[in-house]
Amino acid sequence: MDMDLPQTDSTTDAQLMRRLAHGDMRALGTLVDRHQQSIHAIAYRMTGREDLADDLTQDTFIRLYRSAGHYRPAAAFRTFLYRIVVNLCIDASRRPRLAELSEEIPAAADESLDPLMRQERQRAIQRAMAELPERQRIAIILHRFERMTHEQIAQSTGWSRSAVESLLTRAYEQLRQKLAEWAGT
Amino acid sequence: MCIDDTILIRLLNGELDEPQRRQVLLHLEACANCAGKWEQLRSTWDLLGQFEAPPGADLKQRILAEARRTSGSRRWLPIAASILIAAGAGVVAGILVPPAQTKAAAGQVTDQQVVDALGLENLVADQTPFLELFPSDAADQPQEDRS
Repeated sequence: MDMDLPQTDSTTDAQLMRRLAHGDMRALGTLVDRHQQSIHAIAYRMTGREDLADDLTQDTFIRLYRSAGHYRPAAAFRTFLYRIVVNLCIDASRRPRLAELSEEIPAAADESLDPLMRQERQRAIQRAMAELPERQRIAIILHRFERMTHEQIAQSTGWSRSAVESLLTRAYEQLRQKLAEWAGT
Repeated sequence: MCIDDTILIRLLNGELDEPQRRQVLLHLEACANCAGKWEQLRSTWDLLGQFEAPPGADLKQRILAEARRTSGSRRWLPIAASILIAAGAGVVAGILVPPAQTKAAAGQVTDQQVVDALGLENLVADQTPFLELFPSDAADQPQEDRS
């Protein structure tokens, strides 16, 4: 499965990486335009903090820039990019923890609850995610929110497919238990 | 025989091909146990969909500025390293060069003598683009399955 995102112009991510390897900053700009939001979302869901997510997003693209000379198109670009952000998130989680989740809760997509309940639900989900073991959290973020397949998650993380299967099974079960009171809302 | 949770999770994410999907759905119609598991998984899946991530500030200019700053300082590193090594080598060359040459060459040690004395021909002739002098961590590269 080709993991490069649909192109808005004819330049693929792999071609942009080749240009970036030769110092073309416009190529970096285009890659940021295309992937910044998803990288930021991964970092936010991993850390629960918008300020950390901003820093991790920047770090991801700087590391991407530094790695451009080593990128080989045989590796799907999204796998390569997500491997960087996942590693950075894991490193960040091991530093002395600035532990509080953000107090700011982004607006939820669903309009069916009143705003206060929506906020509570968002907080509950955020807390449940934060309580997951790190690898389960990563697996869930890549599977549920980035819609990666088990194989793609395995490639992005370096874990075996059976490890990914096991992590997702346990993570979904844990989340089901923690969020039981919100089921169906 | 009931369906493994992994199959149901794949079904949720659209990872099954059409024949597999039909087979699983047929089973769910016939098996109350699996149907119950499926409903719970789907409910959790839908709930997680309410976990929004903020759009985040536009970091593009910040990222480009940092990349330019990084490339600027890094471009000078190998050049600065060469100058320092060559300067230090000048002192050493003054000791290693035979006396006859030293008398004539106080302050006149040539670059080539420095290069030859310390075997620096590879360094000063190095035209490697600066990016390749600072490879990324191995962890950033897609790797073989480590399980």
